[in-house]
Amino acid sequence: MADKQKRYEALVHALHADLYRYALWLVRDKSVAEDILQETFLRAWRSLDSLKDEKAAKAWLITILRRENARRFERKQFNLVDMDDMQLPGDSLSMETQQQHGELRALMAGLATEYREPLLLQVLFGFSGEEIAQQLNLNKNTVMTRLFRARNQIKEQLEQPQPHRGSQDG
Amino acid sequence: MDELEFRRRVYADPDSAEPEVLAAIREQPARQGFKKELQRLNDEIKQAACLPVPEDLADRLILRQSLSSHRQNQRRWRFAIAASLAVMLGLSVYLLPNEQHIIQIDKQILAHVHHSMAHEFLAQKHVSRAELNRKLARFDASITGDLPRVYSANDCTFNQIASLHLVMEGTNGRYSVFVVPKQEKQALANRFSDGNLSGQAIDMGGAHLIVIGARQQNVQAFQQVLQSRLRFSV
Repeated sequence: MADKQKRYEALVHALHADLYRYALWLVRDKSVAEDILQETFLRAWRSLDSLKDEKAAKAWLITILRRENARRFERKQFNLVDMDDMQLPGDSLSMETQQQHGELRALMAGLATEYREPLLLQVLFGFSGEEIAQQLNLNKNTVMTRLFRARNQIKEQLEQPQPHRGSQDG
Repeated sequence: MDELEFRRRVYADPDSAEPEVLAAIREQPARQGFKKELQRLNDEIKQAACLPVPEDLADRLILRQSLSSHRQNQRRWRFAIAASLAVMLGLSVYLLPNEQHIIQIDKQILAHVHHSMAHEFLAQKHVSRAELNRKLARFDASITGDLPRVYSANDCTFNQIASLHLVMEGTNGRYSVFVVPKQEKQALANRFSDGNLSGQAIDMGGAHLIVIGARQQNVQAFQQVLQSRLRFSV
């Protein structure tokens, strides 16, 4: 039992930060991200014996996390409107444009989920195309296309004149 | 590799070290500039991705898990105790006398005699014939001749069956006489003994008539006397 405890704590320390960030990018709400993370690690604790190889821990935890996120929608019975269509509430992911990377973060948060997820798996966790494909249950070509579209969109938007948020002409 | 394919690959993975990508750059060195540009963007994306994390989050994750596992352990203990109790109860039902078991009552009878040594054996009463008949009647028995003196006549139970214990006078000491109704699944040897006592049992009607005496006494003889003086209907 002490070994299990040690193992668990090691996983928490090694991975909680990037997992939290991933959750936050996924749901764009700090308290929801934290809830998901709590649930994820609780489930991880309960089924820790099924993790045979520490090298697989990252992928394993992300799988649990994505499942917990999916469950959240089931529990709350959202209209399954793509969250990209929703106006982001002011406090959800504080991306003050004055901050460094503020604009870039806003653009990343504004990506459709299907582009945002592969991008974050790649840049946060260093996943290869194959690993992302496995994680998201997609084929590799689809993954590479989505990664291309994500960066392409970001680059094009950065090269455009500053986008307005909260105000539109006309 | 054509230009479109090159760009797609670099956009998808600016840090790519794929042989085809590197070969494409060797083909057209200007492509290296494009790759570098995307790498710079990607570095910024990587930095932007590193959103701030609450400082105590790790501690809270560990705390919540240890609370949950503590509660789980408590539940496990309570369950284990409940389960053990259930098993014990279940087993005890099996161990109680039931139809599967044939109960040997020899030892119980001997133990009863030993126990009675302190009281009934020392009694100076004289149980009347009438009272004796009354007690025997419950076992469908009656006295037909003269019986030796009866010092005590007490109800007792063997194997939860109401029985009769008499202490009677014999030629060289007192005897214990038991009337025990016959039962299915109840066994009684014809002769039995322990270190100090010996016993003999015969069937009379629907009951066993058992005589217990000390080893130097003549249990058999006494029993034969009784047999001739008592009548048991079936």
